[in-house]
Amino acid sequence: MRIAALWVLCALSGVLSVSSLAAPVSSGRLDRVLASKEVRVCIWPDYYSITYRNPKTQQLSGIDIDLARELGKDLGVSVRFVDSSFAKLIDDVSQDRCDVAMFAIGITPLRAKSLTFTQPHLASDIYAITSKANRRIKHWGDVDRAGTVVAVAKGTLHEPVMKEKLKAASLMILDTPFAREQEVASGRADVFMTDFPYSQRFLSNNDWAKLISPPQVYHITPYAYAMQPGDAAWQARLDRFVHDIKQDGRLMAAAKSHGLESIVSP
Amino acid sequence: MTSREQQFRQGFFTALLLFAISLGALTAFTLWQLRSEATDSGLRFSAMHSRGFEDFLTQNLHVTELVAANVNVHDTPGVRTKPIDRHFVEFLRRAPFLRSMSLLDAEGRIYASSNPANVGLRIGTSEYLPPVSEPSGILRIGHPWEGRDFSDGRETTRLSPAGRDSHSFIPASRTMVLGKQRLTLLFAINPDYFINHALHKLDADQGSVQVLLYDGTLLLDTDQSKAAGELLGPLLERLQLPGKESGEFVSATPDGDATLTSFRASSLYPLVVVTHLDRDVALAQWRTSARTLLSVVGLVLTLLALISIAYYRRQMQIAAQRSEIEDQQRIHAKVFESSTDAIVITDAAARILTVNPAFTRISGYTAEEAAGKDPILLLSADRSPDWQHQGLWHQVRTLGAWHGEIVNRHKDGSTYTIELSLSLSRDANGEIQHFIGTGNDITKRKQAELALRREDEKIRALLRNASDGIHILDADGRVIEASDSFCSMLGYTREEVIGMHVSQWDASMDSSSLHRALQRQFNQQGRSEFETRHRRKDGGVFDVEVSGYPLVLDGQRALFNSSRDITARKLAEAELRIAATAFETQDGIIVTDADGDILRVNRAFTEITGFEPHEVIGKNPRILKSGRHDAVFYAAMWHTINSSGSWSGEIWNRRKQGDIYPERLTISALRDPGGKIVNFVASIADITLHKAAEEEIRSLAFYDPLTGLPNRRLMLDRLQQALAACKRSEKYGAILFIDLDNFKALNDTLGHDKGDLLLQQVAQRLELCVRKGDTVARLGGDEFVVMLEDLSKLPLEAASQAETVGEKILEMLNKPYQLSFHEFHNTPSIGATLFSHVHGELDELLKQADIAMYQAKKGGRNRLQFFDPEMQETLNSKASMENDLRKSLTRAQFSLYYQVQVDENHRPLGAEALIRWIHPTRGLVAPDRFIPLAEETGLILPIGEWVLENACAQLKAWEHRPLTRDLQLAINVSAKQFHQPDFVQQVQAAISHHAIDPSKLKLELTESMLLDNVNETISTMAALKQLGVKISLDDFGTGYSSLQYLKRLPLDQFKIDKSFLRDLAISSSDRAIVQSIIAMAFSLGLDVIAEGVETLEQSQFLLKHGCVHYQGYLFGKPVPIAEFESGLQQPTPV
Repeated sequence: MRIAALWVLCALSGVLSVSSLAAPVSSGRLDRVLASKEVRVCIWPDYYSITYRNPKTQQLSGIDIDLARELGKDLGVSVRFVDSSFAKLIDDVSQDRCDVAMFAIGITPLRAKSLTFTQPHLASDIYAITSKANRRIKHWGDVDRAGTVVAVAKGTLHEPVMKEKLKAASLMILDTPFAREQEVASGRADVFMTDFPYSQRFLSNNDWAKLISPPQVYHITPYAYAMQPGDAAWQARLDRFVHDIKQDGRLMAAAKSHGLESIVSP
Repeated sequence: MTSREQQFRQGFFTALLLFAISLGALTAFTLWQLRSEATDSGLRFSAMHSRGFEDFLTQNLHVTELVAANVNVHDTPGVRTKPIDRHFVEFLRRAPFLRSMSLLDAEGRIYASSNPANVGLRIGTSEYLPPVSEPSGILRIGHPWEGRDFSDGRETTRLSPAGRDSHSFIPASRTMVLGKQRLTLLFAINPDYFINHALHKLDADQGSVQVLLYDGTLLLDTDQSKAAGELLGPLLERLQLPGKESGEFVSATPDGDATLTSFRASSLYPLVVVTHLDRDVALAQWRTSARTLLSVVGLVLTLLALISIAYYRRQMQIAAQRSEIEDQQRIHAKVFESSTDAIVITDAAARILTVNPAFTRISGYTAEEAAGKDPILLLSADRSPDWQHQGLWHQVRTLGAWHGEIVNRHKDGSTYTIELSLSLSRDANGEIQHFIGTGNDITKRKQAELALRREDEKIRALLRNASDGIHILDADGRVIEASDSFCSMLGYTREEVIGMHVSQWDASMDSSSLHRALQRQFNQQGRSEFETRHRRKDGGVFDVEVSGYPLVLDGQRALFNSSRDITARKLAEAELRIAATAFETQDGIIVTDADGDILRVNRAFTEITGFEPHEVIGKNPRILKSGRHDAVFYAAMWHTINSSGSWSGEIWNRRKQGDIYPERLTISALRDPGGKIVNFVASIADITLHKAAEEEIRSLAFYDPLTGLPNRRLMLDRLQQALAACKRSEKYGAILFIDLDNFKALNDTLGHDKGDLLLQQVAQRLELCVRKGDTVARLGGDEFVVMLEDLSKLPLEAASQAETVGEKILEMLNKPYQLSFHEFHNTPSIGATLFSHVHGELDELLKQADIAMYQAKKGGRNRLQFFDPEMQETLNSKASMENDLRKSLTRAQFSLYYQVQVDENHRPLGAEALIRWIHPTRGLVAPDRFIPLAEETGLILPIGEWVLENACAQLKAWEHRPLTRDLQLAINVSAKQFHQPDFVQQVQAAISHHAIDPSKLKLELTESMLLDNVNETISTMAALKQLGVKISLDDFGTGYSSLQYLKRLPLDQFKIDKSFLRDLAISSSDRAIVQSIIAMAFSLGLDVIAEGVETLEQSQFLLKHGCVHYQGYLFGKPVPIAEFESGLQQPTPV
C-alpha cells in the first residue's frame, strides 16, 4: 500500500518536473556555476539527517550535505552552503540566493508552482512526535481530537497537509527555530509533525520524545532538489546527477550512512 | 557385610552428610547476607534518585523564581503591554519546564501572559503553600490544575483530582512588591518536563517517582495510573514531615509488592520527592547471583556425592577382595597341611622353605630339618646329583613344570618311589620366586603294577597261542581282550580289535538280535554255543561257531567267547544241498554207471520221457532211441565222450508213448581220481517247442509274413553281401524296384483282402522270374525289390541282362490275376539300377532304383526305366525350384509383364499379361521353366489366382485414363485352373471385387485343355461367357481339334501360334495353315490374332489374308507396366 502510494507520487512528481521544462529558458545557470567554480546550495541546518548543523561543532552533516558535495565533485566546482528553511525556501531560490536547494524538499503543489524539482531521491510519510509524559497521546488516533494541539513548522510540507487533514485538533504553525520541539516539550503542544529523517534523528537525541506512527500510509511525499524554473540545461544536469547517484549507488551509500535507506526513492 | 564394613559405611555417610549440611548452611547464610546487602543497596539507590530529582526540581523552581525576580515590570496593571508578553514568550523558549507565565494584578486577575488566552482570568493564590500572612517574595505552590493552562484548566481538589488521561500543571506564584505596587507572577509549571526527566533516569518498570506537596497532595507522578491532585495520606504519615527531611524504608504497595521507598524534601520549597523502587527489580541481581550460587553449590554437592560414592564402592570392593584372599589363603593353608601328597616349597635357589606333614611322613624329614636344605638330601644313592640338574631342573626352568617318577631315599635309608610334579612360581616381573614340588608315594602302587603285569603276560601268552579266536567282551559287547588268532581271523590288528563292538564284525544279526544273543550268553549258566557269521576288515564274510561262557572281571560282567571258522564245513554242506537241488531241475538227468546202466533219473526225466524211475533204473538208456540216428551217429557220439569227457548236441528220442521229439542232450563222463570212468551223467531237455519258436522268430525277423518273401531287413543284408561279393568277383549286379500301378485304387475299390491276394500272387510270379541265387523281397506296401547277382563284368551286357529280367517281370505281371472271383489286371512300373564293385552304397542304390521307378511312372507306367544320373540332377533342381516356387508367392516375387496387341494401323488394342518370376538369386525365371513345375505341384492354382487378381486390378487402374480406358487384357489360364469346380466363381469374384468391365478381360485357353470332358468344358466356357469375359483360344493350330468340335465352343478369338509365323517366309505349308486358320476364324465368325509377329513381312502377309490383330516383338516386347504405359504415349516405331 505504502509502496504503491510512493510510486503514484513519484510518477506525479515526474509529470510536474516535465511540465516545468516547457518554461522559457533564462540564463545558463550551469555555465555560470562552471564559470564561477562554485555551486551555492540552500540547506536547512535544522534538518536532522538531511542537512543538520551541529550547534556544538557547527559541522554540517546529513544525506544532502553528502550529496551536495558529490554534486560539487561531479560538476568540478566547490560547494557553498547557504542557510535557508522551508519558510524561506521559495524566496531564497527565486531570488537567486542559491543555485539549488538540497534539503529533501517535499514536492508539494504549492512549491511546484514556484520551483522546479529534480526527480525525487527520497520519499517519506508524516510522523508525529510527542512527549513521553504526555497523557493524551498514545496512538496516532489520539492526535486529531478536540483539545489536542498539533505543531508544524511554517513553510514545511506539513503545514498545508495538516491544515487539510486535521478535523478536531488545533494546528499551531511555528516559524522560529526548534519552536515545534519547545512547544511539545513544554506541553503547550501535544505533538509536532515531521518526516522520517527528522523523526529518527530527533528520537535518538531526545530522551523525552516519543514517535507516533500512522498505522497505514498517511501522506507520502516525494523529496527532491528544487531550483528556479526555466533553466532546462541546469535542470537536466541536476536530473542527471540524481540519476547518476541512483545508478552508481552513491545515493544508497549516503542514505545508509544516515539511516535513511528505507525511504530512498527508486 | 562384615562389621568392619558396616562401621566404614556408617562413618563415611555421616561425614558426607555433615559436610553437605555445613555447606548448605554456609550457602544459606551467604544468600541471606547478599539479600540484605541488595536491599540496602536498593534503598541507597532509591535515595540517590530522590536526591537527584529533588535537586533537579529545586533548581528548576529556583530558576523560575530568579526569572520572576528579574521581570522588569513597568506596565501598569490593567494595561496590556506587548513587551512583557514578548519577554515571557522569549523566556519560555528556554524554559520547557514552564508552560506559561502570567502577571496578576492586585485583585488576582491576569493582565499579561505568555498565553494570551489567560488574560483576564482571576486566579486565587492564597491557598498556595507555604502559607504566608502577608505578601512576601517567595515562590508558593498551589494544588495542581487539570488542563494545559489556566485558560482551559480547572483547579483540582482532593475529591476531584485531575483525569488520568488529562494534562495537568502545577501553579506557582511569586509576589513582588515594587513600591506600593504589588504584582504577582503566576507560573504554570509543566509537570511533564519533570516526569520525562525522571523517566529518563528511572524506567517505569523499575519504580516510580512522585512529587508531593507538603500537605500530601500529589503534584506529579511518573506512574500514569496516579492522578495529580490526589491526597496520599498514609504516605504522608510515614514521611513525618516536616521533621524529617529525608529517609528510606521498605513499604508495601496495595497490591502486596514491596517497594524500596526513599524521600527527600526540597531544600527550598514545600515539596517532597518520593522514589519507589520495585523491590523485585532491586533484588533481580541478587536472585541471579543466588541462582548461580545455588547451582554451583548443587553441582559441587552432586560431584562430591558421586566421587564419595565411587570411593566408597571402591573401598568396599577392596575389602571384599581382601576378605576373599584371606579365605583363599586359609584354604590353601588347609590344603597344604592336610594334603596326602608331599609338598615342598623352595626359594629361587632351590633351598627348601617349607614342607607339609605329608612330606614328613613320606620322607621322614620334619619341616625344621628340611628347612634351608637342598632337596638333594632326598636323593637315593643310585643317582648322581648331575642327573637331576641336567634333566629335571632344566625342564622346570624352561617349560615351567616337570612331571615324573623318581626314587628317593627315606631318612631311615629305605628307598621309595615318588610321583613328582615340579612347577615354579614367578613374581610380577617374571623372575622365578619359588619351586613347588608335590609328590605322591607310589611305592606300593608300583609293586602292585608289577605283579599285575606279570599276570597279564601269562594270559597274553595263552591268548597268543590259542588257535580259536578267543575274545573277551564286556557287558556292552566291546572287546576287552582278544587272542592273536581272533585278530588275524578278522584281519584287524590287536589295537584295532580292542574296544571294537561285536556288531562291527558280526555279519548275520541286526543290532537287536545281536543284543539278545549276548544277553542269552550272559544269562546262561556255563557254556553257550551258536553259529553266526563274522565280517573281516576287508569286507569278506565267513561262518563261525561261537562258544563262550560268562565271567566276572574286576567286578564287571564279561563274556569269554571263542570263534571257530566253519567256512569249510558250511561249504561242504552247501554243496550237498546244491547238488540235491540241481538234480531236480527242469532238465531231465540220467546217471548211469560205467557200463551205461541207469542208476538214477530225476523227476524232469519222467516228465519228458514218460518213464517212471522204477521203469528205467538198471536199464540202458537206449530204450529211448528214436531210430532216426544211425549207428555212425552214436559211434561218433561215444567217441567224443570218451576222448573229451562229454558230448552235447540235439538228438531225436522216443517217449514212452512212442512219439519222437527233439531234445538237447549233454553227456558227461565222471572219472575217479585214477581217471577211470565211474559214471555217465546225461542231461536232456525237450526242445520241441523251442524249435518251433526259433523258426517263427527267424521268419518274422527276416521275412514278410504276407508273401513269405525276404523283408527289407533281409534284403538289405543280402544286398550288403552282394555288394561285398561284387568287390571280389568284379561282376555287376542289378536292383529292380517294382511298384504296382494304381495299387491304392485296387485296395480302395476291392478291399484290403483282395489287395493282399494280389500281393501274394505278385510275389509268386516274381519268384518265377528270377534265378535261384537272386533275391525277391517285399519292402512294404506294393513295393518289391528284385536283386540280381552275378551278372556280366561289362556294364552294357549287365544292363541288357537286367533288362531281360525286367521285361520278363513286366510280361508276367501284366497277365491277369484271379482274385477270388474277380479277374484283375495290373501293371508294374520298374526302376532299375546296376551296381558293381566300383559304385554302390546301399542307400544310394535303393534311392537310384526308386528314382528310376518314379521316372517309369512319369513315363506312362507299365514300363522299365534304368536310372540315369542326369535324371537325378534334374530331379534335385526341380525339388529346389519347387521349394522356391512355394515361397515366391508369399514373398511377392512374381510380377506381370505386358505385351501389346495392336490392329493393322498399329493402334494398341490391349495386351497380354505374362507372368515373370523374379527370383532373388536365379534372377528372371522364364515361365516355360517354372509353369510346368507349378502345374505339376498344383502351385499353378494360387499363381493363376494371383494373375487373375492383378490383371483385374490393372484393368481397374486403366479405367481412369483415356489412353488406357479401352484396352483389353488377356491372361493365360492353365488346364488345372480351368478345371477347378469353382473357377467361374473365382473369375466372377475378381470382376466384382475390382468392379471392372468384364468385356475387357480376355481368358486365353489352350486347345489341348479343352479336349478332356468336353461337355463340362463347354458349360464352364458358357458360364464364363455369361459373365461377359472374352475367351481366346491360344496356340491355335497345334492341337487336333476338329472343326465340328470347335464350332461348339463359345469362343471369341483364335490366336495363331507363333510356330507358324516363324517359318512363314520359307515354309509354304505354314503359309497355308495360317491362311486356313484365318479363313476358319472368319467362317466361325471369330476374331483372329497372330502372336510372335517379328517382321514387317509377316505382318503384311497376315494383313493381306485378313488378319488384322497382331502381337509380337515387331510391336513390343513384354515389359513391366510402367514401361508399357509409357510406350502407349508414343507412336509405335513401325
